[in-house]
Amino acid sequence: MISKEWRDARWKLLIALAAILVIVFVLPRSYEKIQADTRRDIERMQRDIESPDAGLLPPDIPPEMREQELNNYVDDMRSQIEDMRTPGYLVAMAESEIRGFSMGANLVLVPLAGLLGVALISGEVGRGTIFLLLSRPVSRRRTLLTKYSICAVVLLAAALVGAVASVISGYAHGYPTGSVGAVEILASAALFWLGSLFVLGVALLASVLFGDIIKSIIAAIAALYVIFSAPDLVRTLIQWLTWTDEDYEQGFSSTDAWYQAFERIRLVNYWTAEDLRTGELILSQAAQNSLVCLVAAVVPLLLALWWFRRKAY
Amino acid sequence: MDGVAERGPAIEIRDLVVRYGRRDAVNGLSLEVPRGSVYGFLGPNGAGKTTTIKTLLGFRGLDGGSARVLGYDVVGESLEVRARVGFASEVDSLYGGMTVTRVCDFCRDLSRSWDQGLVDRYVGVFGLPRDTRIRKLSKGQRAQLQLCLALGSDPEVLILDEPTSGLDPIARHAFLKVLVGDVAAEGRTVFFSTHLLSDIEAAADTIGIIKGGRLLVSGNLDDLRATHRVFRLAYAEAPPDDEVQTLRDLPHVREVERDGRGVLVRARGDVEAVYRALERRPFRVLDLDSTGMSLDDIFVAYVEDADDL
Repeated sequence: MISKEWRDARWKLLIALAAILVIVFVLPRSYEKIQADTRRDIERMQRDIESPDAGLLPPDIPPEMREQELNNYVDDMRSQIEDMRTPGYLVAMAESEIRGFSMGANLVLVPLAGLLGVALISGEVGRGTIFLLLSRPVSRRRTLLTKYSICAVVLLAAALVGAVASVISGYAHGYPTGSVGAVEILASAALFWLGSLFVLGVALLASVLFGDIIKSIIAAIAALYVIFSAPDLVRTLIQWLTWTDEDYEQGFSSTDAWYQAFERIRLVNYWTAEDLRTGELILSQAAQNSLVCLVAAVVPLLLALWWFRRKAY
Repeated sequence: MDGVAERGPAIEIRDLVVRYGRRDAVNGLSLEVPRGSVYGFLGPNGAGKTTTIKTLLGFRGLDGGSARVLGYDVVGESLEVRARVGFASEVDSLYGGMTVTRVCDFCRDLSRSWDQGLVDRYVGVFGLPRDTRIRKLSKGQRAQLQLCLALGSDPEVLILDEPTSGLDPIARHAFLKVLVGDVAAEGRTVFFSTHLLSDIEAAADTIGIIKGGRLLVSGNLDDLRATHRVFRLAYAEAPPDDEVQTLRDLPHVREVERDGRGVLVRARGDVEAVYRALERRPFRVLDLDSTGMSLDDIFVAYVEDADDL
């Protein structure tokens, strides 16, 4: 059964790996390109400083304040250029670039998890092979867990390949050693893998609930959309129910505590070890987030197991 | 043989109820399949044959009654049941992308015991190409392969759901020949559903007829035939209506039909008593002979009687 499941998953894995390798090796800028882009930006900013144009300022600034604002703007630019000329700036740019493409590689896990999960049971039902499978002296729980485990391993393989490829790509693109945080990249990949198990579980649940693969796909997408956008939906609902005209006129600040509180139930926020505001990788946060991801992954799996054991075919 | 009830029937179903929503697919079904028999489970489409089989194999639960296979409860001991039962499905339940060899390996990995020699033997008997992908096999070959896989675990009971459905006459003949000549001869119990009377005639020694989720009759095929006869009475002149009505009212007479100057009397039950009663009829009978009813007639008789209820 393991070899059969592996064969079923291998094409999806190969396509995902191809996408990951393109994201990691083809799309990123080389370190030389980052340096060249930085030099070009500095030159452009210097030109702006030498002949500051009032058109750079926002139009709503009153005329009497425009000169002062322009001076402030030029000072800011000078300070920024000084910052950009330091070696640390280029390292930070390289770190950001690596974070970007390693996150891109991780994102491939989401559709891969969905595609693996939706076909697990509904695919068997659609082909009629469910009867061959269920007629054997193997419990439904073991059948489902074996299928799930193979998919989880496939996802882990994709996550590891993405992480390792990101590190290799960082060095291959000439990034400074300090900017390629191998441990952080691996930690992020591991957390994202745990997060993708939730997607796998939801897709598996849809696959068990609906014997038809198309219905399973639609149900999984709908469920994931609702779950992932739950903070926005709930926040909008509360605004709609409680806000007065005055509140709407004043608007809200995204830094308001009540606004930020909804981010706590945004599941994807737990899929990364990075600080949500600074983008800095914090390994200490990883343990807490892994626990949340683990619980989130187990819930749909348990539901799928429970339903599969009762499902009539 | 390590079944918990080594002497009981191979399959024992009591008052089985299975519902699809509000509809009763099986409604109070009770039957026993003797060990070593080839039991043909006969019924029209939608009679509840496949649902009964699915329940026996644990594919779906039951809403009432009980069912045991080799003494094992199909709900609480489903794994034990499946360890001892070989199953071939009505639908094409094989992985099209696998070769014959690979699907054998797949089934072996999922079985408690596996007799590869037995599988090889039947693969050879059917002449199945081992390295060909299943999707390239004919429908008949896929049915044969399903039988091979069902036999792989050396089961005490074979459950086959419409095994010859969709096969051409030659493939059907080859399939049934192996089923009866080899598989049943090895002493295995075979329980197969069908709506084809020719399959029953060719393979079964015991039958059960099901309609509307209820068992209409079950028993040895020869016994069943012995209790169904058609009598032909030839009169000197066409019998009056009251004579025909009198014949209809005789015990065990199911149907009376005028046939020119004669009458056809279909009887079920104590046909000897019917014969004696017909012999004693006062109205002048020129000739009285009897023939056995075809399985087709027997089946139709039971199904029509069920419709009349």
